[in-house]
Formats: sequence, C-alpha cells, structure tokens
Amino acid sequence: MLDKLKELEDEAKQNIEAVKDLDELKEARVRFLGKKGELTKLLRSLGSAPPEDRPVIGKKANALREELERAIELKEQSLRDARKGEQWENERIDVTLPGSPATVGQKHPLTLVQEEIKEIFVGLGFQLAYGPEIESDYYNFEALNIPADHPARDMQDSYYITDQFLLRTHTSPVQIRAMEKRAPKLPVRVICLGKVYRRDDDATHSSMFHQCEGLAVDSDITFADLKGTLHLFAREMFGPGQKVRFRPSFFPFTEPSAEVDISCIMCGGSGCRVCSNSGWLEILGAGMVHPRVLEVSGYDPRKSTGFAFGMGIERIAMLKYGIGDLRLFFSNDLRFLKQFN
Amino acid sequence: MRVPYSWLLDYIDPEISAEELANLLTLSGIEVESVETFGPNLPGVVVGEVKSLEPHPGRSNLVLVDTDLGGEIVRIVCGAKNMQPGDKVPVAKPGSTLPGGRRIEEAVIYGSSSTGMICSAQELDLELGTEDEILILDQDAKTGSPVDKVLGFDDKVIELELTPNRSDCLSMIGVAYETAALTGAEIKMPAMDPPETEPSLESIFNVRIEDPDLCPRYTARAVKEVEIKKSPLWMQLRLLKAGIRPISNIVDITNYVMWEFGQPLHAFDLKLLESNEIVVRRAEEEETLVTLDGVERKLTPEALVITDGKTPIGLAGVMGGENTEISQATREVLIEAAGFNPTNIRRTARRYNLPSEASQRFEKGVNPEAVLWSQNRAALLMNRYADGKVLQGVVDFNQSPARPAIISVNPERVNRILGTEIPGNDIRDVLSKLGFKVNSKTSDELEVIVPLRRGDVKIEEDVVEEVARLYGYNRIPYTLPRGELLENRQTEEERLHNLTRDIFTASGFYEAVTYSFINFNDLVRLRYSADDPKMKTIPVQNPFSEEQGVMRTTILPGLLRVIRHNISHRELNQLFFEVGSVYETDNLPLQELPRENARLAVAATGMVPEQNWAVSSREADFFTVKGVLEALFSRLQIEDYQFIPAQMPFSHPTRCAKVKIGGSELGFLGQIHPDVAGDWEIDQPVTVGEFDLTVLEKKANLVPRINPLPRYPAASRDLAVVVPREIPAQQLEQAIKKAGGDLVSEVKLFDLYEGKQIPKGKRSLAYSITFRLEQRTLTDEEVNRAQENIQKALFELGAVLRS
Ligand SMILES: [Zn+2]
Repeated sequence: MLDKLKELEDEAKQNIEAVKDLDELKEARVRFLGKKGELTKLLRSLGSAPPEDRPVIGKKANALREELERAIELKEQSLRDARKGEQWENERIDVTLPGSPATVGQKHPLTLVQEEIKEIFVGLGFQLAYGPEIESDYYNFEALNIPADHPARDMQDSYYITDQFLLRTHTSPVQIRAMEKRAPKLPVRVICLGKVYRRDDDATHSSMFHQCEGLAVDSDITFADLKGTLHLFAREMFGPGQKVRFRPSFFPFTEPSAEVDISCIMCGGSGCRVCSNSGWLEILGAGMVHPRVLEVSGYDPRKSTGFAFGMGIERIAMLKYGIGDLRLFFSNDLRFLKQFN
Repeated sequence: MRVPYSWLLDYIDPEISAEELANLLTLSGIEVESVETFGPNLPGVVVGEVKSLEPHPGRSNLVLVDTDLGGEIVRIVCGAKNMQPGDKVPVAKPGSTLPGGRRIEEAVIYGSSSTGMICSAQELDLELGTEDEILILDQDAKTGSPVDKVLGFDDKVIELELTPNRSDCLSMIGVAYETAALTGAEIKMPAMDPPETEPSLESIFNVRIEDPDLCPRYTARAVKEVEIKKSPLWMQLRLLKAGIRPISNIVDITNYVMWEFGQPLHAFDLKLLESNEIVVRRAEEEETLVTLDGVERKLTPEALVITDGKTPIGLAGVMGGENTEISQATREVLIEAAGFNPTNIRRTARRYNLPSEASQRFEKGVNPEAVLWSQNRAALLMNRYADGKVLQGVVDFNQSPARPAIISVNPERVNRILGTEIPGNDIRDVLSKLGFKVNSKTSDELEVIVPLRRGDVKIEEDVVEEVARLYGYNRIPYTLPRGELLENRQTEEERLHNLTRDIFTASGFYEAVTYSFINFNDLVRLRYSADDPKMKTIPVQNPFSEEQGVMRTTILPGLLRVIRHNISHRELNQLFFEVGSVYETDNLPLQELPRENARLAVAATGMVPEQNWAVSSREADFFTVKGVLEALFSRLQIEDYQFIPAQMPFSHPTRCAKVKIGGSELGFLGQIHPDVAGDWEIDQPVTVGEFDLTVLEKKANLVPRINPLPRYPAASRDLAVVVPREIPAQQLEQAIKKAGGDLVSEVKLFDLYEGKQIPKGKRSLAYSITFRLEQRTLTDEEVNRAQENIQKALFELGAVLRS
C-alpha cells in the first residue's frame, strides 16, 4: 500500500510538472485529486490494509493531497504568469521612439534677459518706468547736460525725425521723466528697459538695440551704494563668484562717472580672446547723477544725491548665453531661437 | 592718442614698464586701448658704415659699396645712390629675412658679387622716404649694432582712448602730469628758450582780431633764414610712432610740438603773405580758399578765416591755405598758436568734413598756458633743426586771459557723496599730487585752485571724481541704498504683455523682435492705398538706407521678412508673434510726440506640429491662430468677442476676419492673398494678424474670478445637424444657447463635415451640449424639452437632423 502511494506521488508530480496549459492542469487535478481521482481511489482501498498501518497510510495520503494541491496551485500561478507575460510582450512599446512633439515656443532671448533684469531690480525695490522711443531733443540731450554742439553728442550718432525730435539714443531720458514725475518727493528708485537707436550698423553695432537704465535718488545715496547695487546685480545675473571692477570714466550726466567691468565669464579672469586678455569685460556705464541734472528735474543737489547706470541688454545676453554675433538677435532665425528651448 | 613710451620718458620717468603704466592709467580713467611694440624684430640687419662707392663696371644704374659692418668690410651691389662715404646705413646680411618675407642671400649681380643688401626705410617696414632711397641712419649709430634697436623698434606705444572731457591728455605733457599724479615721479619740462635776434616781430608785424568771440587768443612768432630739409631721424621716428607722417623739418616741428603740448600750431610761409599783418575775421560771402589738401572751399560768414589783410590764408583751427604753404623754397616762417571758439571750430570742421588733429583739440579745449610754451618750443626747434633765426618776441593778442577755476570743496561732502571716510589730509594730498593748489578756507572748507590744463574740472563734484579716481574707485566700499520702500508691482500693461507672451509661447509660437523702422515700400507691397492711415508714417530724417526709412505703423512687414528669411533656410514650419510698438501721428511733420501704442502681431505658416510619426499634423492656418487668441481671451475672461468676415488690402478675399471685443475693434486675422505673398517671395500660405493691446488691456480681466464647483451633476446630449453652408457657426451656437436658456452651460462643436452623404451647399455640424443648473439636478424631461427647443430653433435656421 505504501509503495502504491509512493508510485502515485511520483506519477502525479511528473504529470503536474509536464502540464502545458491551464486546461491540462485542470485535467490533472481531476485525475489525481478529483472525487473519482486516483488518490481517492487509493484511500477507498485503505480497508484492505493491515489495521496497524492504516493511521500511517492515512496520514501520508493526506500529506500527499496537500502537497499536490500546492504543486497544482504553484503550477497554475506560473502558467498564469506565462500567459500575462505573453500579453505584456504583445503590448511592448519601443521607448526609444521620439516622443510626440510638444508644441512649445519660446520668448525672444532679449525678452528673457529683460525679465531677469527686471526681477533682480524689482527685488531690490526699484519701480518700472517708461518713456517714449521718439523723444525730444530736450529729454535726450539738453536735460542730460549735453547741450547743442557738445562733443559728447559725437559719442552717439542719432537718427533724427525733425530738428526737435529724434529716436532716443539711450534710455537716460527716462531718468529725467521719472524725476519730474516724482519731484520733490524722495526717494526715486526706477529702472527702465527699452529700445534705443544709434546711427551705426556693423558687426558689433546695431542701429536698434535695447538698454536698461537705473536711477536712485534720495537724501543720502552714495557712490558706495552704486557699487553695492551693481555688484549684487552682477552676481545675480552671472553667478555668485562674479567680481566687478569700477573704472573712472565720463558721461555728461553723471559726476563722478564710472565704467563697470565684470570678471570675464569665458576665462574667469585669466585672459582670453573674448576679454582681449584683460580678464575683464565692460558691461555698463554708471555714476552719481550730475547736480545740473538733478536741478533741471526738480531736486536740490545740496539736499539730494543719486546714482544712475545704463547697460546694453544685447551685451548682457551675449555674455550670458555665449552668443558671438549681435546680428543674430534681429535675424529671428529659428535655428537660433530654437536653441533657447 | 598714441603715446610712444620712450618719448614720454623725456618728461617723466615713472620707473615702471609701459604695461604697468597702462594699467595704472586705465584704472584712473584714462582708458588704454592697447600697448603695442612699434616695429618688427630685424635679425641680421645691422648698422653699416659706407666706406667707398664705385660705379658698377657693367651697369650704370648700380654702384658697388664697400661697407664696414664693424670688423668686416663687405662689398654690396646697390641700386640707390643717395649715400655718401661716412654715412651709416642699414645692411641686411646674407641669411637674414626682411619684414616683407624677402630672404637675403649672397649673390652675383651682373658679374659682381654682393654680400647682403643696403635697405630703404620701406624695406624695414617704416613709412619713410621712397622705395629706392636708402635710409640714412643718425651718425652716432654704432657700426655693427642691430638696426631694430637703433630705430627703437622695441619701443612700446600706448594708445589711449580718451573720453571727451580729458583733452588735456591729447598731449605728451598731459599724460606726463597724469603719470606724475599716479606714481609720484617728477615732471621735466622740455627746453623752450630760443635764442632771439633783432628786430622784434612786434615792430614790423601786426595782428588784428575782428571777431574775438571766435578767436579770443592769437599769437605769432617769426623765424627767418630757415633751411627746409628733412627733420632729424629721431624726430621722424617719434612722429611715426605717434601716427603722423613726417614731411619736412618745419611742418614736422609744428606737429611734434602739438604732440608735446596739445596746442595746434600752424606755419605760414611769411614771404607769401601780401602784407605785414594777420587779420582774423569771419569769411565773406562768396569768398573761397584752397586748403592744403588742394580742395577749393566756398566760405560763408559762419567760418572764421586767417587772412593776410587781403585774402584768406587759412581756415581757422581746421586747415591752412595752399597759398602760404611751407615749401622747399620757404625761407621765412610765421608760427601761429591761437585759441579758437570750440563750437565754431566743431561746426566748421563738420561742414567741410575736415576732422583733423588740430580741430579735434580745439573742439575739446586746449590748455591756455600751452600757447606760449608751444611758440617758444617750436621756435627753439626751428633754430636747432632748420638753422632759423628767431625774431625777438611774440605778438600776442589775448582778449581775456584765462583764470584758474577756484572751487570750494567740503571734505565731509566728498565722503558723503562717495560713501567713504577719507581723512581731509588724504584729500588734500591727492589733489596736490594732481597739481591742484589747496588752501584751507575754514576748518571744513577747502579752496581748490585748478590748473588751467584741467579745464574740465569746474564744480565740486568734478573734484569729488578727481579724489575718487586717485584714491581708487576699487577702494570705495560696497553698500546698498537704504530708505523708504516703494510700491513696485508691474503695471497692468506690462502684465498683459507677459501673459500674452506666455500663452503664445505655450502654444508653440516663437517671439520675434524686429526693427522699429521699415521700408515704406513694404506698405505698398501690402497693397495699402495712399490714403490709408497706415501710410501716414513718420519718416526718419537721416536713415542709412530706405530699409530704415520710416517708423513702422504695423509690425507685419517685420514678421513677413522673418518668415521669408526662415523659409530661405528651409525652416518651412513657423509660428511667430511679436509684442511691440507702432508709431502713429496725425500731424506731419511731427509737432508733438507721436502715439506709441503696443501691438501684438502674429504670423503662422507650414505644418503644426511638424510632420511626425506620433500625431497627425495639419496646416497652420486661420484656426491655429484663432485658437490661441481664444485661449488668451479665455484667460482674460473676455467673452463678448466676435470674428466678423472682412477684408484687408493684402488678405485672401474669403479668409479674413476683423476681431471685435464688445464694440471695440481689436484687430484682424487672415490669410495673406497668394499674390501678395508672391510679392514677398513667400510661396506657401501664411496667416497673419495684428491686434491693439491697448484695446485688449481695457477689456481684460487680469485676475480671474473663480466660481464655486458645481454641486449638481450635468447632463450631456449630442446633436448633429445639416445646415446651409452660408449659415455661420456662430449663429448656430447663439441659437442653441438662446433656445436652451439657463440650462445650457456649454456648447462644443466636435465635428464638422462636408462631402459624401451631405447635399451640395450644405454641411454637417455636430455639437455636444452640456445642461446643468446650479441649484438642483435636472430631470430627463427638462433636458429633453430643452433639447427639443434647441432643435426647433435650428430648424428655423434651415437645419435638418442628421441621421
Ligand atoms: Zn576672458
């Protein structure tokens, strides 16, 4: 009897192992564990066994039933897994195919830089100011201490509309407009970004370009404040390690005046072609507002001081993005613009 | 301004290199453009002494020259004959290479062997003499020594890029003063005490100034018995380094002294004057003068002329006249050193397009002290290098002798402006280094007397800059402004523009920035008629070309150019927008500032998205742009907009609409007429639009108002109808909303079909209609009734249900 049980065990295990699909497995279950299955049959013949062996055989037979149940369960699981696997295989995607195109455009790089500049100065408490691009001679020159026939007019060749009106050559006239609007109240703290125009057109100059003007007037604004503000700006714009250098210069509407360099972002200051081996890049002009400019704008130069600065947006963008050719900005070439995405 | 460093050392020795000085100058506000070595290395070119000259046996145009190269004597065959035994000449030895790349070898020339070559200046890369003229070196050049050293080719030239206020540094002595202030070295003034001979010029010569406002100062000196020849080689070399072409001793000396002191000088051939006087006056109408460049100039009373009492002999401060030019025959020289009105000089130089070293200096201001220095220095040099006899004295007309500026300076205010704590004594110190005199007026007030050469320092703030730049801008601390905080949120306009950019870029559009000026013909090419307001452009008076002839009244030409440019680079699929101003006025020529109003312009062409495997793409058209506009309107909570069929001068006759919000016209959107596109060399359909952002701003709700979420469920029904093609979709939608009343919360057109199964002249539109009430759930009956009403309304418009 025990031998028969052993035989049945071996046969059942082999059979279950060899099963190929769920139907066969069902058949195997019926054959071995079913009501009329072989194990049941065997147990029915238990009566013919010697009485002292019966408990042992009964125990073993039950253990075998459990064992086979488990084997069938495991087999079923593995068969089900295999069938799922087939389904997964049919559903496989090629993850290396290109994605379906997201139609995303981009702002012009000059807009991107202007937004960044605004963000920095608005964070420092500056207000946004505006002024016309077609400007009067008074605001563009006279009020900024550049009278007719002043040699400084040579610094900026202008596009004239009439004798009285011209395309503004810088954003500085907005200084005057902003002060006139607020005088005699203090403080004044504005920036103005916009288009300006100069009559030269070559690889390094464009007849139209963009500037950012800044102005702060209060009872106690100092040159040190100008330095601190621009140093902060340079670090925010170009990175925390940025060094700045102030060199004396001349603008008719500031005194003292300065030109401001940042350490070269190409070489870090060791000297390269971009910085003509000086390690420095000029990025803006600045200074303390000339007393005559304060006066014509409605402020008493003995009771108030101010600083002003002006920078070229294209220059900042070129440095920030490593753009070598100024003309790219106004070509609006998609091969250029798409690189900002 | 070019500053040859070895020349500068004549006036000051800072005991540092040219590069070090350049750095100091740059940091003190005298910007150095470059520091360059003057000439090339000339290995193998040495000083030779001519021992003897013999005619070449075979060739009459050649000579055989025995030349001592310092120890060895070599024979050289030479084609030039301008040297004498005893002359020092540059000799290129066999094996050497000249700057042009020419290699010198031992050679046999027409039967005579030649060991090396005697060189002209030009063969050594020096702009002196002629090609076939041997360069004669100074006698004290040591035989056998390298010629590049003898000629000072290793000298450094510092090129300054001066700001207009620092014309004092348009002179060697000015740079020397600056160097002194920066290094503490001492100034050595050059000799300016010519030996004089009787009689005094004053006794025989007269100067009369008729317009002292234009010529406040005029001095004259005379030198007789001059011999016109080349100036000494060292002077020629210095002028070359400074960038001035040497001419003859007299002319070279006037230039040399101008370089030294910044005072322009002019030399007249005294014998060619028709009288014994100089009269300075405004030119007369119709008067003419042939200037030194050989051009006859028509003069007007705006120009100041130097005359000999009868005819003009010079255009004051700008250029001399040919009639009194120094020539080989000149024996007597009248030296002019004057002071002219800067504005007048500037205007004259501009009018005749004659910018010169002289006019440039007069325009920016010349040190009044330098007038007599220059007269005396030039006379001394003419005595030395032209063997001239200097007549006694200077005839000097001086309308208003210059006085130094005296400025009160408060050291505390200096620190208050700079944000520093520089002690009063240090301030005094810095100013004295600059040669400013400083007196203490009171305990907290300094009296600063500015030297005449620094005419740019006029007010206390100017002194503050002087203190700051010598103290060092980089020693001033970094602080931030303190004080009241200001409200500084962006304006509505600014925020609307940002939002517009955001929505267009999120929809696949790229932002363009195009020029504010356009070519007027671009408007003609857009078929605008002459009386269209867009044609009322503001012209630019002095454009470079027609391309920038007028200010734009529309952004479209700019965008069309962008489209064309990109198509030419095979970028066929383009979505562009621009936010920018147009410039409009009612009155031309301009009497007041024009209107500068913001516009949004859009252009779309090609396929969107680009052809790809994943999703189908379709042509970018009217609806591509309309969709983005509707997204913008939705974001701004604008609902009462309308697209009304319309035509623009350049539009496709049936594919264009005016866009209105409420009663206000916002702009238009439409496809460009194929013929017009052809004129723009664009051979694919382009849709464009332009919208007035000031109108949009008035209608916009920048901060969206938010409704609570619906509490009751919605019911949805689809409805497909076939309608005559001429009935606009908008009319159907309005009919649906009207008939459905409050119950209809949303109407969506989800399908549009024309073609098979649909009668000709008709089309099928399928709507998905959402019904919802805020206060309760709708019953099926209610929805059915509404649906029936809607159908009835559509039937009235000629619709039939599509089965
Ligand atoms: Zn660099």
